[in-house]
Parts: sequence; structure tokens; C-alpha cells
Amino acid sequence: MNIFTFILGSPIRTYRGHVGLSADLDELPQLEKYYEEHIAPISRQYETKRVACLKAARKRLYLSLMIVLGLTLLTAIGFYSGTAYFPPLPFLALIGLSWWSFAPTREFTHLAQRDIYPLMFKYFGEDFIYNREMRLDMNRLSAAKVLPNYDKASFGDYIQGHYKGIELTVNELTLTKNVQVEELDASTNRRRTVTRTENQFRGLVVELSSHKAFVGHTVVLRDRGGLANFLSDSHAGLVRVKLEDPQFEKEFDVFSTDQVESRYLLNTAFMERLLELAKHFDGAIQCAFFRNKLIMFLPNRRTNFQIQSIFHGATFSAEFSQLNREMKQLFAIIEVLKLNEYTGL
Amino acid sequence: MEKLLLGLALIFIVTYLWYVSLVKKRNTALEALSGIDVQLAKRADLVPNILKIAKRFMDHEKSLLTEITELRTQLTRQYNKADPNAIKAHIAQAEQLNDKMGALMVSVENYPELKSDNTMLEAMQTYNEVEAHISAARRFYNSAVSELNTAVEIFPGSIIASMASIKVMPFYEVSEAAKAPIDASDYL
Repeated sequence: MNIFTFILGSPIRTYRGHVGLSADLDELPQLEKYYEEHIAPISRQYETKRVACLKAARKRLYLSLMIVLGLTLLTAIGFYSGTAYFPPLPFLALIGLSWWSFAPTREFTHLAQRDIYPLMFKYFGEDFIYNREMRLDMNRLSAAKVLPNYDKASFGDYIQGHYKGIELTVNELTLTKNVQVEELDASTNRRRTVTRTENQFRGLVVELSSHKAFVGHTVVLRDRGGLANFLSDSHAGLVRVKLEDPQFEKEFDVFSTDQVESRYLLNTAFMERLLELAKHFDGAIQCAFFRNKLIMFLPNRRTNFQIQSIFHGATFSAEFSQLNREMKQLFAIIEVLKLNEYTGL
Repeated sequence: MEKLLLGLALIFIVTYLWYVSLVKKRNTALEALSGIDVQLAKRADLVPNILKIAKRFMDHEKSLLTEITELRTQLTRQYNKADPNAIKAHIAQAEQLNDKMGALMVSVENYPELKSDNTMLEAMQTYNEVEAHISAARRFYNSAVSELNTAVEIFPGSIIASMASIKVMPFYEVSEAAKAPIDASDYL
């Protein structure tokens, strides 16, 4: 079923068919076992709720369509008879009633997200939490000196837990800034100043604990270019660290308050691993070693922890498989950087 | 006449700026050297503890332990940081101590009681950590020395440097023993 067949009256049936999970072959049995034990019993309850929600939504939708048709008819009569009428009324009613019609499906999505996702996250560890209200401390992120200037910060999915002894926190972040630009007004043919909202950062912030305590502050930024480096050897009060690896120097610029500690953290093995990680993220990663945490900024990366479609059966198998894929990518950061090993970063 | 004065003033300004940059580079190298000394001092503080623990178990390594003690004493002595030869000798001593400590760590493998001693394990872990810091400090020092030496050796920096008595500094090179490939059979 899709939105069109739903509107056209396709029958709403309970789905009790095959649950197709997808994962690496060696992991699939474990994923299926967890699914059967923890998610399947709840998903059956949710399937009943889904059908009820769709039926309620359809009732509301048909009622709304009749109201809109009635209002359109009244508006047409008003127009032709010359009595008082308000032309945009049917259109406004359509918007309002559509919102009202799909309220049950939205409610279902929110409920499922609230109840099912935390269960799914427990697959990765008992201490894993998923929340949309929690957020990383913006003051600490700004103090890490990697973020661009911004006016407004908005947060999305928040995940926290431990993987191989490393505390992992992930938060979606969007930073916007109001900028004033000059543009030509076509009607008056004069230039005018308008304020536009521009995206400064959109992606994931990953915060990882470290087995090492560090006192300094080191940031790894994307290469600023030869001219910028020629003109300035500092960044936000941190001094440039020139590292020996030419490939690393080509892709990143490092700044720190502690020349020795920055080299201790960015030893040759760690530089190799960071370069390898950069390949997975199109070289767009930036990070900071700050207050005993490694904070990584991954632009243009979004998690996709959303219920995929209410028109499909509430098995949540696609969502669980998707979540597993997303989380594996995040765990790969810890594995690639070998943060879980006590052999130096 | 005015043009000549302007030219001389320009030459003076450029020379002075060059001199300032050379002094800055020398000071960075000296700062890096003191960074190494801080880490070497940490290691020197750690060595007596390791020796004290080792002495309780190691009967056949007395000469090695004595050598390490002597090297440690030499290394903690003051040296002239303005003299490249003194720096070179100091670095060589640090590497000698490193080699001997490496040999001691290998010998520990032959003493199962010592190997499983908790205090020894902790001391070895801390020692490895300090070694990693020494390695980082060495990288900073070599980077600073590389910049200084390039500036000092290239004309006209060489003339300004000789006038200001700024000399090239020695690199901190790893000893031949540390560079040698590890033979796994030595540890089996």
C-alpha cells in the first residue's frame, strides 16, 4: 500500500508475513535471535495499533474531503450569486484538515519511535540509550574550537552507550547563521539587502572517551590551504603543529596548546588510522582532543532512525537492519582508531 | 643620498627580521629540547624504582643494573644547552640508557616471579608511557631543529647566524640498536 492506494480505498489488512532482516551473514543469526526475543512480541501489538491508526486516519480523511468539497461548493455559489465569500477558504481548510486527518499516523510513528528504538538500541549493549530530547553540551562543543561561527544550533537523534569499554555519544547537529546578502529586486530593479539563513554545519558529532588523560587541547582541521597557513600559524589561540607525515599534512592542519602532547596523541599509527577513516567520510572529518574526550565532527552525515512507512507492516525489520548498519559504521570509528586498546592512542 | 639611506634602512630592517626569526627558531628548538629533558627526568625518576624491584629477583644481571645506575647518574647532570656537542653527548647518553633499559625489559622475561610482580608490571607500563612521551618530544625537537638548521645553513641566514652565534643543533637520532629489526626468536 502507498498514499494513493490508501486514499483510493485499498483494504487495510494486518501484516503477519515474513520478517526479512538484513546484516552480514555471520551476524544475521544473532540479529534474528534478538529480534525474535525482544522486538517481535511488541511489533505484533504495534501491527494492531497501526491498522487502527490507518482506519482512523482514513475516516478522518474522507470526512475532511467531504468538508472541503462542501466548502468549495459554497464558495462557488457565493462567487456566482454575488454574496459574501472567502476564496482561499477551501484551500485553508484542506491544509488544516489534512493535518488533522494524518494526526493518528503521526502519533503512531512517534509512539513506535519512543518505544521500539530504545529496544533496538539495547541490542548493542544494555546501557545504550536513544533519545531525541537529550543533547550534547553546546558550550563544550564550541570550546573544542572546531565549529564554525553560528547563530542557531538544532539537535536531532541522540545516542549514548559503551562499545568495547569506550563511551560513545552521538548527536545530530545543524548549525545555521543569518547572513546579509545584496540582491537585485526584479520589480523595482534596485539592489536591496536581505537576510538569509545559511547552513554552517549539518552532520554528526561523535564524542568518544579516552583511556588516556590529556591536559592540552589539540584540534585536527581540514587543510586550510597553503596561503592561509603561510599567513597564519595559529588557530583560535592554538599553535600550529607540523607533523612529519606528508600525506597527513596534505589533508589536515593540526593546532595545539601542547606540542609534545599533540605528537603523543597523533603518533604515526594514529595518523594512519585517521587518514583511513577520512577515506570513509570523504576526507571531511575534523576532530578535537579536548577535556579527555575525542570529539569528531562528521559533516553531511545523518542518522536515519525513523519509522520508514506506516503503510508497511509494523515488523520494524527494515528499521532494525538500517539501525544496525548505521551503528556498525559508528563502531568502526572506534575500531579503526583502536581507541579500545591500551597501546597508546 | 636619500635613496641610499632608504636602501640601507631597508637592508637593516630585513636583516633584523631575519635575525628575529632565527632567534625564534633557536628558542623553539631549545624549548623542544627542554621538553625532552622533562620526559627524560620522568624516566630518570622511574629508573631507581624499577631497579629496586628488579634487584630483588635478578641475581645474574648485576652488571646491567650497575650500568643503568651509572648512566642514569650521568644523564641527570647539567649540560651546556648552547653547545651542540654537549647536546649531542646528552642525547647519546639518553639513547644508551634507553638501550640498557630495553635489555633489562627483555631480561625480565627470564624471571617469571618478577614478570608477574604487580609493582613491576605497573612500573613497566608507566615506563612504556614515558617512552611514548619521549618519542613525541623527540619528534617536536627534530621538527624544530630541522627548521632552525635550514634557516641557519641557507644564505644569507648563514651570515646572520654566524654574526649572532646561532649554531646548528644536532638531531635526536634513535640509536642503531633501537633501529635494528626485532627478532621474534629472542623473545620466545
